[in-house]
Amino acid sequence: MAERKAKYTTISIPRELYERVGTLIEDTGFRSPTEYIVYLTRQAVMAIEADRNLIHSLPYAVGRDGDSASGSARASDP
Amino acid sequence: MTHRGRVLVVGADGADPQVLSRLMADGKLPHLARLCAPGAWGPLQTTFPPVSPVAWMTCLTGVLPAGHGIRDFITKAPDSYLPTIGLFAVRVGPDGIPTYTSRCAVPTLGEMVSQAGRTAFILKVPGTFPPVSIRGGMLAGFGMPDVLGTFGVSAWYTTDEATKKASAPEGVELVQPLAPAGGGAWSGRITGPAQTAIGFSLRRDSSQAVLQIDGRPPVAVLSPGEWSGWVRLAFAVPGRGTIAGMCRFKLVALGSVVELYRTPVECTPDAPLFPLAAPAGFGAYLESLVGAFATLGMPADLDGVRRGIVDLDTFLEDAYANWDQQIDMTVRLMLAFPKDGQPAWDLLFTHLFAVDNVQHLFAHCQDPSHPSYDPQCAVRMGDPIEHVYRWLDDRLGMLLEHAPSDTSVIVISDHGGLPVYRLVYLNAWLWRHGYLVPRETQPDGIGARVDWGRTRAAMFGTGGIWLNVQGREPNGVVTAGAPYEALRQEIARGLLEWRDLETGQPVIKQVLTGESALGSGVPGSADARAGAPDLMVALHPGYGLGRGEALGRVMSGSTLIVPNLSAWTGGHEGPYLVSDVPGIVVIHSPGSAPVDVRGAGLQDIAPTVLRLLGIAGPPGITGRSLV
Repeated sequence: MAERKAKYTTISIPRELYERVGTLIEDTGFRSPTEYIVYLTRQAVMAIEADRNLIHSLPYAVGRDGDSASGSARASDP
Repeated sequence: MTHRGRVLVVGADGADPQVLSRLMADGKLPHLARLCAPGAWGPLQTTFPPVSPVAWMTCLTGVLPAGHGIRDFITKAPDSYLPTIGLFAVRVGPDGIPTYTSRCAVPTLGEMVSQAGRTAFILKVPGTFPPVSIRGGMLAGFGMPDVLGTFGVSAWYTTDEATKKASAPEGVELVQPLAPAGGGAWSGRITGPAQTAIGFSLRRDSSQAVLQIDGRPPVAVLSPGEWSGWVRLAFAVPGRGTIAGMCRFKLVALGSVVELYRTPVECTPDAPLFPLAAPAGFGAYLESLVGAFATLGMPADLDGVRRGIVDLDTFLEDAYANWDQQIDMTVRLMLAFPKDGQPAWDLLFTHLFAVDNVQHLFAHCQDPSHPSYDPQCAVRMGDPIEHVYRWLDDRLGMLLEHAPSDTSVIVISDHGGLPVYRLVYLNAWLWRHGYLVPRETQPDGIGARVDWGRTRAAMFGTGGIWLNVQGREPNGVVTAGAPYEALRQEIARGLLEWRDLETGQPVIKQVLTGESALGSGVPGSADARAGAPDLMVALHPGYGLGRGEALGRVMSGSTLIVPNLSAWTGGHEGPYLVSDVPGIVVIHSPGSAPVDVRGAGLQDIAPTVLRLLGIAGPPGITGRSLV
């Protein structure tokens, strides 16, 4: 049977920060610091992805990181 | 402040003073020539970098880029090495739909006029997204996304996916299958927001094709080469309900291979997913004047052409349809709201991308010295650049015909346009000279990632170089103070010595410090250097930046300079010095004080408009009135 990838993994954050998050989320509806941190991380990731979507669709010369120089370009510089 | 007139501003993005002078001298721009009294027209200093959102926001605010806060298309996040869009900040809600906050820190012209109790309509000026509510209305310009939250992603549907993809490796993402569906029909999918999609079918009916969306009655019957009207789409997004979109289709081929082009799925004017207009009902009002209209900030598929997917004819057909509709919108708006027999607007500012867009894609067409020159292009298409200037002049004539006789008219461009013959790789230069260290062998066609623990300097965006300064950057290696300044000077000196070995010409014309390039006097910020690059590079005209490095990556597998064989044959973004790619200004003001545009810059336009309207400018504006 193929090995299944675990659905969750563990990351480390400073204990002091974890405790501050625990205090912060009291009465906010978040059930744990982990839940709140996952929420924030997901939002940050989606925002960066949305930003990248824009950048990648920018037609101006600066727009993409995935485009190559022309394959037929002649060398002009060693 | 003696005038209480009315002002029409026509923003002719990319109109170049040299081209304009030549065509005017040949008698090919009669309407513009009529406005150009001695002293009342000439070059207009652009911004650095000379890119549209940066430049137009200087025009609208009366301050230089450091003052308004929009500094480039792409910049580096201040606290990391993340490249980020420079126009606005992006957040995403729990439903996966983005929201946007402008980086502009100061009021724009529409707000200034509005605050004086006067009425302004601001149409599609780059950088005005999200739009701000004013007395009158603002329609968002460049920055306004499609329903996917991009600057516009089109699709090319085909029954021969493999051939199309092989013909344009950079555009494979745009190529979509038309799958056989039996009975002379094919099916495809239209991607929507938040991972939704809508199916469509295309059925051959003799020499035409019938287009149906989502199994509903036909929305178009098309012959090869024919376009549909705007087709409305409804995407069911869980947790959000229905999101409206719209697009147009062109049946490209209906032979042994069937091909269908689709424009980006744009927000609808009446129910836009993103803030299209302010007040919110202004978009629907404009739709009531002209019908459904292109809402994308830049309503032309340059990206599809650049990626090798969309042919130039299709591009031009789509773009001119959208630009013409914007002219129609401007005329109708000009005539709407009659008040005692007079239009109710005090300021009407409409921006057109036409000249800019055509100059980007057709600079090679009439230029045998361009590496992409194709004699067939000149034979088949004539001179598309001259054509677009004449189109602009003709449409300007339409606007003038409908403007009340006491209207002051200002025609401006944010920059000019130049052919780009050769492409340079700035981060590759930094690597070759030991300032930048790649983290990997360059992947095929993609810039290599940077080893920030060993890199002292790297470029992001349009020629902005950031030093990797300790205490400022996460993995800074350059000591602040004297070592920082010494390194800055060393890199600047090295860049100025860079020669193109094939031509013997210098590549870099000037290296500026970020604070000097972006301007001083910062109404919106306490520190002009906050987040700005440490150096900004200006190329000699004829050179442009090669792709692949704007996100802080390095094309370490490339030679440093290559001929420009891309579809992007002309440009202004260089970056070039402001003196190398000026825009134009024309001021025609019946009954006003004498006009003097000598030494004029984009920051002078807002104060000039305010003066013509008899409105005192707010404190902080650094431009001066030209009347």
